[in-house]
Amino acid sequence: MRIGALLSGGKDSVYAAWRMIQTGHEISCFITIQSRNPESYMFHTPNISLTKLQAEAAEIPILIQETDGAKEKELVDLREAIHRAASTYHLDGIVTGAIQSVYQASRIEHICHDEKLWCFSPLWLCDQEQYINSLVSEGFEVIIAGVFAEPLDESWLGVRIDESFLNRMKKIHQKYHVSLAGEGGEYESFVCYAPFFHKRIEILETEAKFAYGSGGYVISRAQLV
Amino acid sequence: MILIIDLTDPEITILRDEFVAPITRYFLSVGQQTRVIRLEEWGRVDPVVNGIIICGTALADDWYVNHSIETQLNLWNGPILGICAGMQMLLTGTGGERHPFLEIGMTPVYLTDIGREHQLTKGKDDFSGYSLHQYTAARIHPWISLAESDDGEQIVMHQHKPWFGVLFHPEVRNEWIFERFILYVHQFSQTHSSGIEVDFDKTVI
Repeated sequence: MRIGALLSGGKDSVYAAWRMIQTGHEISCFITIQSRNPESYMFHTPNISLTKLQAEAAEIPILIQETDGAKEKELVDLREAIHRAASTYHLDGIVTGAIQSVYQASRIEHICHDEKLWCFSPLWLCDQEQYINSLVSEGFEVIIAGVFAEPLDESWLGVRIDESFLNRMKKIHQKYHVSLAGEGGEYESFVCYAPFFHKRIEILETEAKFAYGSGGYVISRAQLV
Repeated sequence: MILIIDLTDPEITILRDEFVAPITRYFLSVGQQTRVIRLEEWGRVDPVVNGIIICGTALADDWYVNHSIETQLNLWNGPILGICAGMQMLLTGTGGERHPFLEIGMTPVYLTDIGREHQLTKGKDDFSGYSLHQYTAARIHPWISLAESDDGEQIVMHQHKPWFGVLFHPEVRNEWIFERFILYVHQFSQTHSSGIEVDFDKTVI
């Protein structure tokens, strides 16, 4: 099948695309919704402009749709983006990185149904520990790009998701019930390398901002190597 | 042992990640042994099996629509829980007809009078179920309704066999249905191994 992958720049959307490739499908394009609202209900925002670089690294075309990020208006923009992508790239389906969000999944399912597209969420209700282990063992390079829940603080910004990260998160999960995969919005991530990328993203300049219990790791300069 | 039937399109293997794996993981997490087979492999059931789950599939997947489980149902009198497309298979396999019925997202579900008293649903009153289907199937006698949404039946039960159908996906926020089904399966196995015949009309407490 020819698949359009909704790409936020974070691990879930990239890993979901990878699962489609692994099971014999073609990622014909990426679709990024660039929200001007940092509190968007639907769309991941840290470093969203760098999805272009990820698409370039994967040698897959990307369609970027801007949105104001108002609660239901952003769905109209998503619908428009999926419609454009489906007609431009002759898509059979869409893949999402949804893990547990019924809000996110059901809205994308609706759009796909109306557009006569398949909708895949291969991470749906996954075992989060197994998933993070797979990311690490399959060679993904992912960093923490934002933290939004206690006890995650400034020291986590820019940290790479690896075995040591998982061990620390497991302890935090036991004590604070923070989702291992950050599914409740506890943290956001950015993918510098995935097994289907032809190049990796080298981060050159960053700015960490942390205040009132949450913070972002903004990548201001990066290049493909 | 619970036998899990995968009725996703065999050419689209990724569907198992979304519609079968979460269910097997749930059963594993509560220590219930399972075995997964494809719909085409379902024939006479191994005696070690004491319950069957028929999984659902993607909204766009209509592969199962061209299959019937009438033969399999004639070979099995033990407990079955059909989920979404699995419920449709149960109803069409016993004479019901499939018809379009689109629901996506959380759907308010209300118990019927019978549902309020039945062990599978008793005490849950009203709740929301995650719907993802574009068809349902007509419930004909001897199926009865345990729960409904504003637009259609959500949980059905066969009056003479230990068979249940759930149109929404219990693996999303309603795992209690699996928990109760496991209990039901175990009670059914014990009753049957002790030689006591169960009258399913009377199991509606």
